[in-house]
Amino acid sequence: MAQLYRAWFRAKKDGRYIAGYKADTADDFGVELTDDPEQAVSMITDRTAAFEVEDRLFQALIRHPDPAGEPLNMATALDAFQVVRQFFEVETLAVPAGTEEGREITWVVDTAQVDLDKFGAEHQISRDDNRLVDLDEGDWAQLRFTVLQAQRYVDDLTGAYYPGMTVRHADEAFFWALPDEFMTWAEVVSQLDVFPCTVQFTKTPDGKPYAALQLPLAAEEE
Amino acid sequence: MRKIAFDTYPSYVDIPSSALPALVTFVNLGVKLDDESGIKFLTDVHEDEKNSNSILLSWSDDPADGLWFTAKEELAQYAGLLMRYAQSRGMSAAKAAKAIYVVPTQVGVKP
Repeated sequence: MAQLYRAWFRAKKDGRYIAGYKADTADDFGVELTDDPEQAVSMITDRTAAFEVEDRLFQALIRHPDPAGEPLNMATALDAFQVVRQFFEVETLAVPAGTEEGREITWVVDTAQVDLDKFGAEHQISRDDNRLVDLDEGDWAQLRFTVLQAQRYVDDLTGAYYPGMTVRHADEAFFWALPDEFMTWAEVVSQLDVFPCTVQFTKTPDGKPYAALQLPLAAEEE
Repeated sequence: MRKIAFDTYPSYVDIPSSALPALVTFVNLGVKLDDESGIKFLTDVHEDEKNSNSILLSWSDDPADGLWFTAKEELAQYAGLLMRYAQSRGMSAAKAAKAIYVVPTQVGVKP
């Protein structure tokens, strides 16, 4: 079995650890610090390349928002990465054999290159704090997006799966949560290798919701 | 169980027995015409008994009723058919290409 390492972000200035982040607006970013490594965001990995550990640890960090804060948009996340790189360094320690999983640790195991969080899920993001395709709003059946990715995600509060998608909006990528009616759709569409493509949300005459993909495949037939 | 990617085989019947059982992805195919309110989904294609030079297409408003496809190549053939149909209903070729929709419906098992 490969040697595993546990990694943290530590401040270059005073050695404190990053425990999470807070964003008062979608364009703002600040980290929360702790002296206790057990309360800090950490990751266990078998990776040894510095950039790879740093990248994955940052992904683990942005899954730890302050509950009262705003989710980061894509542009802010990129800026935040540069801030973290400037003021923090990655500390790694070899994990003794037989260590049990600790508090909200992101695992990166062997060559599969997947992050497994405390729910055993690859993709964890808060459902309630995001944009939602709401079937109770009258105009949902006219919604149309350029979708970059769609799949099942895990709500970081409940651990329950829910469908979601990332869409192109101007120069940014926005995340949208979808209602449970699209659970199967999200699971199936993630298998198809069709993104990015245009997705039209609509419903049958008797009101059953569905989402139709406008495929590049059809355009190639022209 | 093996998962068959959408572009691996030309059609459902071309999946070799050596690859079975396998998980396959099912999608339905539809077209949105300018003069109709919603997308309609292809449910059947058959020859016109009265005219051997034409074929008849059947439709449903519900993607769950549609013909299912498990392969990109087969889907492309039928998408081409629906594009020609849309053009026969007055659409330009470019507009017809954008009138074709696919709805992923399930991942199922071919035993």
